[in-house]
Amino acid sequence: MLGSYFLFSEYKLIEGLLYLIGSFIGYRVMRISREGYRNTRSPTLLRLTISFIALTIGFFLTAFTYIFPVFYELTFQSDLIFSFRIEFLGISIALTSLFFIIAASFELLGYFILALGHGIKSYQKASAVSVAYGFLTTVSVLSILKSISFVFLLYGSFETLLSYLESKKRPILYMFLGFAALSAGEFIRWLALFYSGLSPLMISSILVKLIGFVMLYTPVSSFNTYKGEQSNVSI
Amino acid sequence: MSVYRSQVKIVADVLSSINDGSEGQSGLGITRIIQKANLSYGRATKIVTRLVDSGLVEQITVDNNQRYVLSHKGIEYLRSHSDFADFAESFGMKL
Repeated sequence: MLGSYFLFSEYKLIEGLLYLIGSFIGYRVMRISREGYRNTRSPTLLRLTISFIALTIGFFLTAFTYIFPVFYELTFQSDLIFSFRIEFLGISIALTSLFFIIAASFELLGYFILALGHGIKSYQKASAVSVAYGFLTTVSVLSILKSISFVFLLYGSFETLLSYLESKKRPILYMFLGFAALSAGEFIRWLALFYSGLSPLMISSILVKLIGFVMLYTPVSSFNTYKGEQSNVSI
Repeated sequence: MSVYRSQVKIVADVLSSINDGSEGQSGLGITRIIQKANLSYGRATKIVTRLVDSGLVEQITVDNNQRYVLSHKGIEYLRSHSDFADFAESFGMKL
């Protein structure tokens, strides 16, 4: 992801806008889930709320990391002296790395809780994490986080497909297509990194992800945030 | 194979049993709730007591018998449960 940030700098703004759409959809889902949890006290809706809080923050941070430097460059390009621009580039790379890692961590947490909602069991070994920490570079941390996110996303879409096959309800199909398109978009993005210069791959990755977000929003759009007379029911 | 019911689902089943079963204002007795919601006596009384305490169900006395009717809050809860069950289902999950 970080590699593509520098390889495909011309797509930064488009990708930033895409993630901004993603964060908006995540925010909508989070609000509905939160209202649902307040009204029903369902643990499923609590998991969905936490999952989409993390995903919204992750998507928004990614969007910010893509969009903000573009505006900064456009505003100050002519005014900066060369040495300051080099210095700024160094700080910018460091901050970009940090922001991408934080964003990817939130995305990972979001997808993990979403997969947990489908009944996955996961165990972490703290000692292994602390030993491995010293050997990992910034980019590899990011790659690992994104890879695990990808696995959770695939798992979530597979479970959603199973639910659709069981009930044959259209909103579940849209949700499955949304998750599947997001996974496919991420996969195409990786391919684009291996074949640098093949911009159609990058464009199709963005388009597939956009279709994914639209598909995710389709069933969500039919739900308005519930404004029942009672809230905070304690049973 | 028996299907696992979460606590939220059991509560919704009890509420909809009371809602469907009570005719007019006469309400529903504990025996009918047990039958309709498919629960043991101990569990049903525990849940119904909690529902009465939280104001979702009202306890009335008809001919010296304890009967239960859904309160306005209970009807609202049942409605929102149905809405959000659909929402969770669109993610392939159950409430």
